[in-house]
Amino acid sequence: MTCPRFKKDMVVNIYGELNGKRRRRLEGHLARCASCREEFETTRKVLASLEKAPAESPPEIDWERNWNTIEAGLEPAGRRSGFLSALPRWWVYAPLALAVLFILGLAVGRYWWPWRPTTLVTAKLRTISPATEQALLSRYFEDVKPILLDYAHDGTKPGSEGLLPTDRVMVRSLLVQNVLLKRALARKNPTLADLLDDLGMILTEIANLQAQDTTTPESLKNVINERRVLSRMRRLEKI
Amino acid sequence: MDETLLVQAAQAGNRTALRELFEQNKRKIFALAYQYARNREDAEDILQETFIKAFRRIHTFRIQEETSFASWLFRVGINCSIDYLRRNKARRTELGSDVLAAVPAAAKGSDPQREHARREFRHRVDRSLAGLSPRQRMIFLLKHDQQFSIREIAVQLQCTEGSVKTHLFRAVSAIKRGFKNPALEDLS
Repeated sequence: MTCPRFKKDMVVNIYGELNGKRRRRLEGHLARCASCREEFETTRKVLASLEKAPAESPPEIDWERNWNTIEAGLEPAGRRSGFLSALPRWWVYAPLALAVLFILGLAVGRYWWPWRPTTLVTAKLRTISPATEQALLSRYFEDVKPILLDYAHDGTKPGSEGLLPTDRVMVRSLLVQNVLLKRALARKNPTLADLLDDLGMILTEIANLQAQDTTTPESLKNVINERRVLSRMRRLEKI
Repeated sequence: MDETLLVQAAQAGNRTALRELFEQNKRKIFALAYQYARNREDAEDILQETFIKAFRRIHTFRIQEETSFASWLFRVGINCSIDYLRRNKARRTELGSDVLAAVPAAAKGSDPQREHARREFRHRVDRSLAGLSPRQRMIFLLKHDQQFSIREIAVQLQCTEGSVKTHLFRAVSAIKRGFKNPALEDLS
């Protein structure tokens, strides 16, 4: 067993690089310690024996081939050809960057953007009390009823002054309200869902009438009467 | 042509100057790579990698501050060799087995038994070296084969002299473990 504090110094001393005080201390120790002396001799013998079997000298190689490889390695990587080489490098990445931004935008909008108007409105509608529900429905029916009455009776009668001019913005607003009410209340009440479907269809037709569609006020009158829309509205208002 | 002028020309992008620097230093770098890798193919890879890396970064070489281009290039060679061996760790264990066949045949008139012992001994040395870490192996090579001083090795590897001594001691211990006394006696 050799003394640990002298192990490193033994190797350094064999290579002739231990000087001064440390060398004298090692030599003093080796004179006293038989185990370290033996270790020192073995190490010296091993290192000396390496000289007797030196590694073979390097073989001759094809220097020209090696130089050609080095020269090829010095060329700028990924040199572009054709019309792409005329373009600045950033241009190649620009479409990719745009695509990434677009996808990120979609992801942010879809999953993380806090402001979702439709969802918020319907969420509010889902949490309202039955009394408020009824009040909302009544107010909606109040707004729709004059238009329906105009088409079902008054405006289409022979000798009447004709249909009142319909405000397109108001009809659209009624359609939006229809959609919201359907989302919020229709699941609980199938009868209401049917009625709101019919109202949606009639309001859409009225909006189209103004765009000179094929539907006539007479056909709308028939729809309102055949499907008894007004009486169904009255019944639901009373509940 | 003077090395400084060649380096200046190479830094300005002159290919002829690069070729001349390659010609002046190729044997020294290949010898280092071959002693380290103990295999011609790997040594050629290290040679190419060293010159490509050095020439790509030649603009970072400061003529006034550095000792010489040759020693700067040698340092690049050392680092490339260590990196190469680290990257090809799987092959490291096989290095020793290739070397036995690569040892030159016995010279005419030499004792075949003694020659066999010499080859067997060298094989053991190489197997022991294959078991060292890339850094230990390089330190042993620089000290034992290239006869660098401990201070010079520390400069080349950019570490402390104490660290070099520790690695050298571990390398020598590993080599000692790979030997049995009969092998030593056969050679003497």
